[in-house]
Amino acid sequence: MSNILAYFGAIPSMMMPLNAPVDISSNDVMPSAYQSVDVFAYTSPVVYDALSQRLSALVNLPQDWDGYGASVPDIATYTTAIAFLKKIDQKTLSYLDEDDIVPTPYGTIVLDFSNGENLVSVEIGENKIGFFTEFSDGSNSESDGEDWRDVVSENLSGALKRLDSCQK
Amino acid sequence: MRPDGYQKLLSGALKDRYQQFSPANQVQMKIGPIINAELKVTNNTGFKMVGFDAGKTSKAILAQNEYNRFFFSFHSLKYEGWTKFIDGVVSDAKIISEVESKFILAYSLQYLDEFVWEDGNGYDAGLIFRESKYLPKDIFGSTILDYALNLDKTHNKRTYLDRISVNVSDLINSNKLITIIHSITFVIPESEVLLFDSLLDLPAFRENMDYAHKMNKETLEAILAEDVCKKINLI
Repeated sequence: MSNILAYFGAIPSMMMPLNAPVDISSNDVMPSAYQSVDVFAYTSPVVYDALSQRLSALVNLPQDWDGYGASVPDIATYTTAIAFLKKIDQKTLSYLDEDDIVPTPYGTIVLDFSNGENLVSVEIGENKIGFFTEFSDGSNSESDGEDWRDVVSENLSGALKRLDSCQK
Repeated sequence: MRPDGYQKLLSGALKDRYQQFSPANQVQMKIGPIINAELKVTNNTGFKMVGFDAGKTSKAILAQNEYNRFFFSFHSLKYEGWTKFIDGVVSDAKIISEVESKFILAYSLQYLDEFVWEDGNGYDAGLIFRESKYLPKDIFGSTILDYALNLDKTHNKRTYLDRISVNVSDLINSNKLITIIHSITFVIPESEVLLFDSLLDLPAFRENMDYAHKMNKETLEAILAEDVCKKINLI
């Protein structure tokens, strides 16, 4: 079993909810949050997720963000990108830097997974995902876009898996 | 919370540990038919401070303004043992606590452990988990799972919250992602209200965090199969 179960190490976090800044010279220092505490609100997991935060930043771009009339990714593109990332394991995500998640002028989002000279470039639209590859051995594949139905296509899965087996 | 007050730490007390600061935005989705769905983006709701090691993110501090409270979390993405982790985050937290004076409401230790089962067709929950008081027996016949147990317990006559969640979901290439999140949360009683920086100096704080760490190990050992415990050096 040790060959088929991969472990990526524990990620510990210390979490601390606090109340508003206070004037400790004032008599009225009791934080209002104490007055009706839903204790289970303190136990919601907090996961550091730089990639989702990057996607949030992209939907926050202003219209015409490039000065040439570029569109901003819309809600459907954003949710498709989030759903796609949820299907990708940590090992494959290690080939995706948050700076390599970029918007296109057409309102789509490109995610460039790279391992050395090898690249799998994924473009996400409202309800379609396309990709192309640039493998150093010259054996490449591409797709103009397949409908997103919460499943990553075999071609794209295969390309991402191949990326992992490439030499840097 | 005013993010700019914390940004100055990057060129000051935290400059050797954190290299990147960015204000946080909050994205909220209005639920409804997709044609009417809306994203509401609120700017400057907090900040993210990131530290790198050999070009990879090794630690992060997240701060978020929420309704009626602020929320700080200190994350390690390169875990090198308990003592190094807790000493590092307490040192960072002390510096953060000096920016603004705030009352602490609660504090938690959370561990996220993630496994990938690299042959989804042969997934067998019985090879990962063992029968325990934490998990229902039905999980052994299931190939997807989203389970959480949140209980109050007592340590040194003080109540704390013990939460465990286990999720098994499908990944690409027929793989399975198994995520275990365990947290221990100590809520400060209203009668013992204290400031953030004062908490960090209390012996009881460190003792509680050590206890939370110990409970995490015991919980994982209770729910994971022996081979898995050995694989992650738990036993």
